[in-house]
Amino acid sequence: MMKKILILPVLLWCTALKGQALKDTSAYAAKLAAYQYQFADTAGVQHSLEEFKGKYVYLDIWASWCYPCRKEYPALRELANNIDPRKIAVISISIDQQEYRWKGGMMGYGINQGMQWWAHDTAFVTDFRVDRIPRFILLDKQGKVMRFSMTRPSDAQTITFLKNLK
Amino acid sequence: MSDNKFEIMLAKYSAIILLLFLFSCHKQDDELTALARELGAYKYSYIETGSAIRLNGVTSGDTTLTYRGFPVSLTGNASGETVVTATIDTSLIASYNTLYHESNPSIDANAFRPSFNGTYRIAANETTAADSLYILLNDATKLADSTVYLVPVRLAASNGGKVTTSVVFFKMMVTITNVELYVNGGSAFGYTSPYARNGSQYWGLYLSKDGSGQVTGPSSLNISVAASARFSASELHAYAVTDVSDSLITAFSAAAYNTYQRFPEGTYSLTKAGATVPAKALYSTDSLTISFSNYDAFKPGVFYLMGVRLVTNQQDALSAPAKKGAAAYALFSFYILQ
Repeated sequence: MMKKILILPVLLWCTALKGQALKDTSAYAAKLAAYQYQFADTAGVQHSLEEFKGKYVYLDIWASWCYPCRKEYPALRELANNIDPRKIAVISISIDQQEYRWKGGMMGYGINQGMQWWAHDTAFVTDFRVDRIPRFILLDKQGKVMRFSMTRPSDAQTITFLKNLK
Repeated sequence: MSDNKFEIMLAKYSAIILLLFLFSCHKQDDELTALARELGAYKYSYIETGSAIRLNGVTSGDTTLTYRGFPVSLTGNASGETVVTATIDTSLIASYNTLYHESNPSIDANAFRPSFNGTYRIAANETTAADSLYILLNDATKLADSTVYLVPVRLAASNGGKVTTSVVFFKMMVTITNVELYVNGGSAFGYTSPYARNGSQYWGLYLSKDGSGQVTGPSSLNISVAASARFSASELHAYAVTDVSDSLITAFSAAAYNTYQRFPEGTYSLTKAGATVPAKALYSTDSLTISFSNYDAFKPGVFYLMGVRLVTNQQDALSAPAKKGAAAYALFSFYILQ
């Protein structure tokens, strides 16, 4: 009984800590301005996420050297083919350090469909705290972070969530 | 033979046949299959970044810049204090490359090391260690610049514990900067201080004659040197030579839209041709010294130019190379007023 009394406050404290950490992350993510970053497409044309203002954006952060990322690619294509492109844009952003590695990875692994951009601006990686990949981020219609770490395309919840977006 | 005995014998034979069947069908996993099986839950690439400074093939200041800790956990509560050991297993790189069709470079066993010396303690009745696993850049000597390295780590628990993940893969992006030297300033003469011109440090001196017709100019000027990065392993040695080459004079004249002549012979000499940047420092503690004499050799109304250029001394392992281009130069222009 005594043990239970002791464990309960510890559990509550841990939950509070976790809750605070989530709160901190949400507050941090809310301040991010996704439109300020520049990305290059395969032709070298510069892009900004502002091009999708008015749409939700599901970002797939990957790299050619990341097997778990490549493994998600078929599921990502399937997801992209099953959502309304007028409402949600799906964009793959590579964080490869070198352009040739990004393009080589796309060619070598057949990752060649959908919108493929390259984050040559490392500020994006730093600001969005990309410390493990694959990482999926959901932006709202104004480019604000809705989900700092969204579920994977292979997770059935993802498509359900995206389809329910108004 | 009674029915009972027959049934027992039949059961024994059946058991033997079943065992033989099982043993004949069960094959040991080959290394790759075993690894693939182990990696069933391989869901993330953990990204780390590291950097090092290199001088003549020797790296120093190996630093892990960013990392995300991997939680070291057991499948259930530890029955007693359990130690999980992390070991970098370089042999897994080849297997990984085969499994996932990648071409990660092999690494020296000493290049990376696990955090907390690879030891993670899990207290009794706990499932996760307080310390998390990440990789530290240990010795970048044999690593290449701007390269992503795969660092496989095996985890094993003592005390009969079973780790949730037995193999973790980290990807570390390594950047290696070659330390270089450049001229970053020097002493003033009167009101004239050096300033950056076309990427070089430039002293433009307009000199006048005194009442007796003697030119009043500097007898010497100091030139300070800086390193592009702090090199912690040792001090850096700077070496310099004078330069009045046609290419220098022509290039400077073109950039300045003016005509310069080289300093007359016997008017300059590098009286101190070396300087030292201490370990972990950016700036030299002493200076190069260029001395001037025989001002009578300068004609009034003519722009003269000479340079001091940083060079590498191949005989000295601590001689750092100079930055390419204009940054390696200290340039001096004299103009005698008529």
